[in-house]
Amino acid sequence: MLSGGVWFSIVVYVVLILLCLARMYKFYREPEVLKDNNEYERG
Amino acid sequence: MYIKWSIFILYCIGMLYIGWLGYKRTKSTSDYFVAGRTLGIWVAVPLFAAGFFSAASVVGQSAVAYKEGWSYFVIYPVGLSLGWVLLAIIAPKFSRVKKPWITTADMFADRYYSPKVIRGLLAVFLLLNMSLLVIQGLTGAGAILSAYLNISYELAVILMGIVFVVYTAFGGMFSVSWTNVVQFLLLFFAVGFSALFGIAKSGGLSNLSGLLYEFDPNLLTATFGGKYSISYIVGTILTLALGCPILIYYHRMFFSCRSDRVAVGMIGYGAVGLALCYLGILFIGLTARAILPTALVDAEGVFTALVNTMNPVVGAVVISGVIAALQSSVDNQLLSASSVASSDLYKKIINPEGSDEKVMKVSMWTTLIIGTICVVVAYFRPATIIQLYIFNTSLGVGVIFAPMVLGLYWSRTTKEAGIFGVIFGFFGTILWIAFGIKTIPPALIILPANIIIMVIISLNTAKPPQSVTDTFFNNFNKERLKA
Repeated sequence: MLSGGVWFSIVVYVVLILLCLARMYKFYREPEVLKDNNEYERG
Repeated sequence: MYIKWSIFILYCIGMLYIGWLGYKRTKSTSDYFVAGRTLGIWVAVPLFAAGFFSAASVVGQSAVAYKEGWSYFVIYPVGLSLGWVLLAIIAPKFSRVKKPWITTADMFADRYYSPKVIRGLLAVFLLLNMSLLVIQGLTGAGAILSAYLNISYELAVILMGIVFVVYTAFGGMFSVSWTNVVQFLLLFFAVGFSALFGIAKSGGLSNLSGLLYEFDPNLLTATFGGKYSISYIVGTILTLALGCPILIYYHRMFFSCRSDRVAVGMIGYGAVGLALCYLGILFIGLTARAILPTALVDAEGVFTALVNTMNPVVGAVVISGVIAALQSSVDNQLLSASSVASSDLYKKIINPEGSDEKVMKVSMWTTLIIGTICVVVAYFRPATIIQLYIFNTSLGVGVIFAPMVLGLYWSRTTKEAGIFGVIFGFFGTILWIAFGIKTIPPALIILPANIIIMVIISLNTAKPPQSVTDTFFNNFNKERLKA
């Protein structure tokens, strides 16, 4: 009963969330570089 | 009424207790503003999600879904989800560079090798920008709390104000982060339960569509039966999306994460949680339209009207979730306003020799003072400030977006172009709003113009120093390769 435009936007919504997850997945595949606050304060 | 007051008081005590825990943990300005850059994924995700989900999301957007059906979804959740993608893209640029950044102006000052001019310009603007957001948030919160507890608006603003100003001022980013964890759980329950409650009352999803179709078939269309043109929908989606990466409290969240993985994960997992919350808001609006016996005169009361049909105890917990959503945004905004005043203006410009201990005391007092001023202004509910919301957001996009994106993604961008971009973004947006074509938002004209002129200025001025290019571009991936 929903119009075609609504179905299209539902697909866009899901794709955008998947893009966020894909971006996150890219970083989770690489080693995590932890911050050292002291190092930061030294600049 | 006793149940409502008991749950509200319990909630306030919980928030103040977390504020006290944050106070005990805070030892330096880095702790106070960026939680010592130690936030892990379990705190960062609710911090982002609760900070994102504001009074406008709960009250304003459920009213739009109630009035305009699925066209709400086509514009708002889709536009905001595009904003999450933009945030996920820029996140590592903020969290990777090894510099002691606390505020967005710190990053701009380093990128545009202009420790005083660009920092001063931005600081003054951002202080005003964030303070206005706090006042707007408090105004919405006061209206909801007064309706819920059946007290005056003024008393509601004072009660709400005291709690969040105290826990933010004393506990800084630690208490804002920890309170946001609780607030996110509460608001997630509130929105999720209310949506499922509404769907069950409507007799399921397919029955809901039938009821809405009988009521008005336009509720099931993307353009609300042609009320909205495609260009309007696309323009609004872009404005909503571009408004996300320029908000400085997200930048401070990136600085607070313990690694770039946490910074990007915060947006990734947060997007999933927020996507569910915005679906919840959609179904709260749709089901209220289908099941409430008479049409609401004031659509902004849709959430309260739905809650009134629930069991009183569950309804009280749901409303405390709404109050949590309201507070979780204003505390982030207040801390950002205070960071600009005490870190950018006081520590970096007025008293660069001040000890960390002194700066931290100044920071706490600054938060208290700015918070109190915002509560007092919200108390008088000035209509002009509430109407400034769109103006404030448009100004934010105009001032920050072009210098931020060009500065982070094009190494040739120069100091002169950066300073021009901030000034042109500010005055250009004001002039377009005052004299430009009303149907075209300033972001569609001033932003492209700003980018083009900044490119021309950059190409005609001396290149940025090598140290800046190394910090922001050449060494960008070395840290990761070393690991």
